[in-house]
Amino acid sequence: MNIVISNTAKAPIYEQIKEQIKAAIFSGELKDGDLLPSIRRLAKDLRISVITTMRAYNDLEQEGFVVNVQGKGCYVQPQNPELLREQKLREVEEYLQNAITAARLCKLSDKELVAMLKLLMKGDER
Amino acid sequence: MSKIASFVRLDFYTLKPYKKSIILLIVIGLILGLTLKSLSVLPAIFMMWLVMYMSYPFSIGEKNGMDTLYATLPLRRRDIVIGRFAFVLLMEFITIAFVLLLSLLLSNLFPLPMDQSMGEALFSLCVLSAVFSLLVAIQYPLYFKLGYTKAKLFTYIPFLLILMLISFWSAEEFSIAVNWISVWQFISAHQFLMYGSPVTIGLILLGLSCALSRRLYERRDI
Amino acid sequence: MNNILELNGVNKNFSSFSVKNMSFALPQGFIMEFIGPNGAGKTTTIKMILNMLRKDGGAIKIFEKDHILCEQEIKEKIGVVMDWPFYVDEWTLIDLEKSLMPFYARWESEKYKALLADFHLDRKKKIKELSRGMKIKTMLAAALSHEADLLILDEPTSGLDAVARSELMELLSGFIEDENKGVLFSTHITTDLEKIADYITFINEGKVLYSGTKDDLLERYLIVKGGLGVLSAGQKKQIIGYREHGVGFDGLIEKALWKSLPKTIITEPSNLDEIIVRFTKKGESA
Repeated sequence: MNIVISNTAKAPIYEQIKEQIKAAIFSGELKDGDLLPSIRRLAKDLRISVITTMRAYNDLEQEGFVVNVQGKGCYVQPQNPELLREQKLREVEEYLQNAITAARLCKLSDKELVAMLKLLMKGDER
Repeated sequence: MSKIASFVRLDFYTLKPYKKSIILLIVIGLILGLTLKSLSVLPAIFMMWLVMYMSYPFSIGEKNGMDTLYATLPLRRRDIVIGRFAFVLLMEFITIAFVLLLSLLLSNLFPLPMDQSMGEALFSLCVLSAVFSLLVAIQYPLYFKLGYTKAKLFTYIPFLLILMLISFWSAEEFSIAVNWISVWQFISAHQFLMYGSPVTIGLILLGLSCALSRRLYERRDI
Repeated sequence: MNNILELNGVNKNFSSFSVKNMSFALPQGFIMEFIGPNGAGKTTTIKMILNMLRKDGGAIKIFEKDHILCEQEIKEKIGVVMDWPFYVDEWTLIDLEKSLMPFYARWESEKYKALLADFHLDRKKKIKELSRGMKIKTMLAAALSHEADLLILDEPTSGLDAVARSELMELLSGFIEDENKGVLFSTHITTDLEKIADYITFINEGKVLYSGTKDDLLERYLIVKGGLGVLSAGQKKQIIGYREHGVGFDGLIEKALWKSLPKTIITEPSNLDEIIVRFTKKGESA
């Protein structure tokens, strides 16, 4: 698994770690029962503070992605694929809703909005 | 105890870079002794060298900020003071042993006129060591309290004191007041007192000075 | 969690300067950056921790023990690096080891040799022949060769180039991989070393202005910028290190207060540099 930290990104470092580990779980790169790198090793490798790493791991544990076994480390928890998909779908819905709200504000027609979406999707395919 | 021994070792290591000049002084002492065709000057010469070197651990230490090193080592302040006194006592002992051995060796190797008996030589060594102890006893607490540079200004005090003692000694009235000759006769009649009293006085002075130094160094901000 | 180092209401009075009621704690397993402008009292505090200066009041505990009552036992497990070397400059690095080794029950010759090799230091070189950076590395090698649990470094980065700083960072985060250890390092400028610090203790004029996790400190404040005439007098007072210039203002604000400011104001995440500059400024104007 790769974790790449940006010091200039707006998102705090613990958030970046969290999101990238989540992404690895979603993509199947990290599987149920896989051991995450130890907190102190990860902090050393990324040259960040131990506390920041701890925070990312704690958040992941609270959200049910990993479980911390005392003295052994953090293991990836089994994820329900249906649930994951649902969660992601909700996220997509939310963003789309935001787009619709913004479009209404500047009086964009539905047709124009759909066209814009199609255009963006085409651009993303590259 | 082992901490103090380690500190004595550290002091020897502190002087190590100066071993060349120490060897040079030994050679000079030897040449002086041989050219003057006298063995009795050896104790005086070597004790003088020792006086020169007794402030070295302080001066080298201060130059290199070694009070900080001592503070980082697993030592209490008292170990440092006791260690430093143990070091100077050891130096003194080594010098005396060296001078005695050298005298024996030289008197056997070269047909030098024995201008004094072994007993007299030993006695002068004992007195010299007492004088040395007095110097250390006065100077070391000053070094521990003020550090080398500041204390250096005061180090002429013991020399002045000794000069004063000598002038008292030679003063007419003083000689009459105390019957020195009878004192001398008493001492020389008792062998142990003859050698023991200067050494004992020296040791007592060092002991008192060590206790005082400890108090001063424990209170010093480095 | 145990505190590896703890200061409680520590005082020291000099004629022209004093450390007042200094309190902070470093939990075991973490790195603390001890930061403040020159003359803030960092070295004075470190010297009190090491019992070089006698504190006038308060308590200092290391490994949960009084730092004077258990001095010998504590110092057996402390490694110290100062910004000036404290060895005989005529010593070679071999002499150095021979001088230090007898004091420590757990001196590791192999480790010392390995560290010198890692730092590209020639054991036969004399201390006085080393560059400033090499001297710091020598002290670091000595500090790491007797299984110390607590490292205390006073301005370790001053005089180190970027490569050496990076090596130091690597070394410290490697050291802290063992969660029983702790590091306190002081600095008067923010450096890349800040990245690996877990805790920050920020002092000025002998007083602690903040002591806590770095993340909390950075999240607590925002940088604010805006045009002239948008803030009321009361709002200006809320801004730490408020600075007005020809075409606008800037400063630092607590996140909780930011919402009450006009919308036209720009905010940015804060950084340690800004926090230190603004707080130091505030102290000056007060």
